Amino acid sequence: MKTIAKQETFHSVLLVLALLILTLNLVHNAKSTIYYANLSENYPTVIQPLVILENDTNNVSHVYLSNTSAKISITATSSSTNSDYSLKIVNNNASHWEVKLECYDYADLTHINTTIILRNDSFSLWQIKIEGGNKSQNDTYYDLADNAIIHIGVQNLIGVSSGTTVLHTHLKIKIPNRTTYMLYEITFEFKYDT
Amino acid sequence: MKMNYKKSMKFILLLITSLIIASASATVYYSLSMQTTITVGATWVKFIRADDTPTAATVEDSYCSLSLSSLPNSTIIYEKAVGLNNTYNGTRTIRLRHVSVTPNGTAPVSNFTHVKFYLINAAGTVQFSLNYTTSGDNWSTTATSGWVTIPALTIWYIKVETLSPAGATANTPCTITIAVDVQQ
Repeated sequence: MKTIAKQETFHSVLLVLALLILTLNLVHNAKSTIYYANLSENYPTVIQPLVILENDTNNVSHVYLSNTSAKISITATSSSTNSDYSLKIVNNNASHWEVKLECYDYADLTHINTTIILRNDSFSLWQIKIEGGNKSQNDTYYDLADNAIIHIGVQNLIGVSSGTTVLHTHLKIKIPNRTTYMLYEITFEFKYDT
Repeated sequence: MKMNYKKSMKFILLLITSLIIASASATVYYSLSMQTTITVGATWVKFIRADDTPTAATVEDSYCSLSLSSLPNSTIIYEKAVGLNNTYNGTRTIRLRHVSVTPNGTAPVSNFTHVKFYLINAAGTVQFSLNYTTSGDNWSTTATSGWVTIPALTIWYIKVETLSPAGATANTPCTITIAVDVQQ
């Protein structure tokens, strides 16, 4: 009789264990799999650039394929020089933009002093200053009106010590009152040889 | 009295079967998940328009359709392409999941460099991203993210970044569908 009782207890334990395993499994699945999916369909389409870069009067820039990136190369001298028309920024459409230059990387700032500006024929706004090996930046946007042309200018460029100063910048082109923007890569290279 | 070994064996078999069921269930987690998607009705975390949602976009509680642009050799960033509003007075866990990308495996794909989707919290911090990058004519995507917790009554955002290679052909489209899964 004792043997049978032990066996019944053993059976009960097995049964409880089996039920426990199944129940825990169901609870686990129910907890971890109940979700709903919000679907976001996105349609990116390649567009023609609405704002393009072009070489300007001073002929110191090289504009790359697609007109959305450029390199400006200027040789400094021991006296101060201006290149007010280094690169042309052309707004090809009827949209109003806000633009500014943002420096995100640089090398060897000690070789020159200069001020980089955005300008049209009546108004200019400084963007980046290099002086005494230090860099400062203006966070104010410059208005790029409908179908307007503005210019990047390099002012008061003067050599300090032999070598090459490089600035890697983005021309940030932003829709006013929004946080949608385009980033155009513009590199500045200033050489000076005493 | 003799021990009823046959009966014992049945119980042991039952226990083993239970273990097998439990472990098998765990390994088909994603298949089971797909079923629950269609059975749950309440939508607590909803899409809403944000600062950078295109004017022509369709934005409904659990569906949105966004027309975006991609420029050759220039990155376009939509910091707040669409909002995710947790309207529940409690936390919810969410994740980003790849659903589909078309076309794939054909020449037009090479007109794109990448399309990246970031989940941004209210403080502007990236929680995780779902990146679509091209190699030749093929898209590849990062894995589904882990679950993260969105606080009660809070708006988060999806940020989108697009880039095409220099010389990309204008008017080339693609369609990327992603899911924002919300755990109940």
